[in-house]
Amino acid sequence: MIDLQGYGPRLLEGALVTIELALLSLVVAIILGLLTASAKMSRSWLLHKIGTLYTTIIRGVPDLVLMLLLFFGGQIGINMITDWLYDRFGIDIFINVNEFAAGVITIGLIFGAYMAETFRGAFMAVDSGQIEAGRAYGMSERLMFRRIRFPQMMRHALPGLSNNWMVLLKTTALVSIIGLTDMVRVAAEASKATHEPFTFLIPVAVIYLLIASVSEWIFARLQKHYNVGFGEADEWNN
Amino acid sequence: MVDTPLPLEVRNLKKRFGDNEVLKGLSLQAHQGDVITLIGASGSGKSTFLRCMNLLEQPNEGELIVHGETIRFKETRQGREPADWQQVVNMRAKLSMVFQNFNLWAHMTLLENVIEAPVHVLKKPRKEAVEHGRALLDRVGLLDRADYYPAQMSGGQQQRGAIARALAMDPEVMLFDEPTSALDPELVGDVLKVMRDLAKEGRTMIVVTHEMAFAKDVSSQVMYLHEGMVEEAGPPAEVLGNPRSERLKQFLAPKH
Repeated sequence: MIDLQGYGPRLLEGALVTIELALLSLVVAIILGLLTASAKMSRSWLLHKIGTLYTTIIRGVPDLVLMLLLFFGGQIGINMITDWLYDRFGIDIFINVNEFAAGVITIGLIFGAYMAETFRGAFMAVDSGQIEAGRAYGMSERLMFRRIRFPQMMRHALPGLSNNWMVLLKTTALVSIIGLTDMVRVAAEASKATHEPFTFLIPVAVIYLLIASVSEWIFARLQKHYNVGFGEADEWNN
Repeated sequence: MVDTPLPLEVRNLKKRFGDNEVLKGLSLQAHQGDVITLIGASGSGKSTFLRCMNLLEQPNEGELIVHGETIRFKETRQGREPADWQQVVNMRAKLSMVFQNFNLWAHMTLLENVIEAPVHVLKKPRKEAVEHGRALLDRVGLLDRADYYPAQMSGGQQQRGAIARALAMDPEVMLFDEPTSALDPELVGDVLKVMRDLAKEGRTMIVVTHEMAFAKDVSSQVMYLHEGMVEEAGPPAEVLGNPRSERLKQFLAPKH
């Protein structure tokens, strides 16, 4: 066995941080993605502009720059607001940007923009006759979203979704820069202290690969689920 | 005055796409058990007229009265819109539509398609909906296909399935939008037979069709549309048997 020189438990904790961070960011990204896709497809001129502005800015600026901007800039911005509240109304509050929350929000915000494009394309790929049938049978927009639009959109969205998730997972490695102790940071610290980079970085690479493989398997299952009714006839006929 | 309200009445309906007026004031009265067929060349507005009846298209002018209830509209900057979408939803549940391209929901089995709106729109208990749904599938000869997905069935089977889905709503009026136009010729007969049976049992139906034999044998009233206006209307024996206008004579003449 590799001798992790006592860093084993910390590395494992770091791996948990990575997984939690990635999953929570994914949830934020999916919600933001669905909202933005709806905004961009809506008849409202304002919503459309806001959605476009958001995706244009996020997709045009490097992830790392956005992360630093939101983390440091976010703290300064919050401080400005709390200072103003104190000066103006005597309300004394201090909000410290928590690294973990900052990481989730930043990664969620970045990938929300990519998800938005994935979802928008997927929603537009749903056959309009399917929607019309829902309308003709008295479905409200809400019911139609739940019963028809969403399940039919998913099979178009999943390949892009899975791709975004893989990139998102690896983007979490950037949060070590804003001081969050994920497994990459633990490995970097351990490598520096022991001068044995391979001992720590190879396990980290393996853990990433492991998470990626499990995700691939889950996405393959989901793809199969949402493809029911669309694939080749012999696939579902026994 | 009649005691029971008409299942469907349309008064002076007009529809424009941009500057192009495609429906120029159409009216229709469907009594209980009527089968009204709308015929006309493509572009005559017959499908648009049908789609206005359940507001898949928004008419610019005119009144729509479903089972005595007048649909309320309001003027907005984008044009006229229904004032109360809940009313529209309730109205649509009373008029079920059969589409040219079937439009069965592709991600659901046939039985799931049939019970979907009864369970989720009409809030019928699932068990009851399934029982009723299976009986309807039996009626259209598709009980053995209940667990098939639409893509696994022929066009004719899908369309009969779509008719079962429409019947599952216990509709006041059934709207058929060229139900046999997308079918291979050998599959048309089965669908028409189901529709003839429905007419016989007294269903109120409005049918856009190119099937003149069906129009002649089954309908109580035929409306011939031309450029968004009714050119001739009346019992089929009159309209189809003894057309007055030159245009309708041309339309009915055997094509070579």
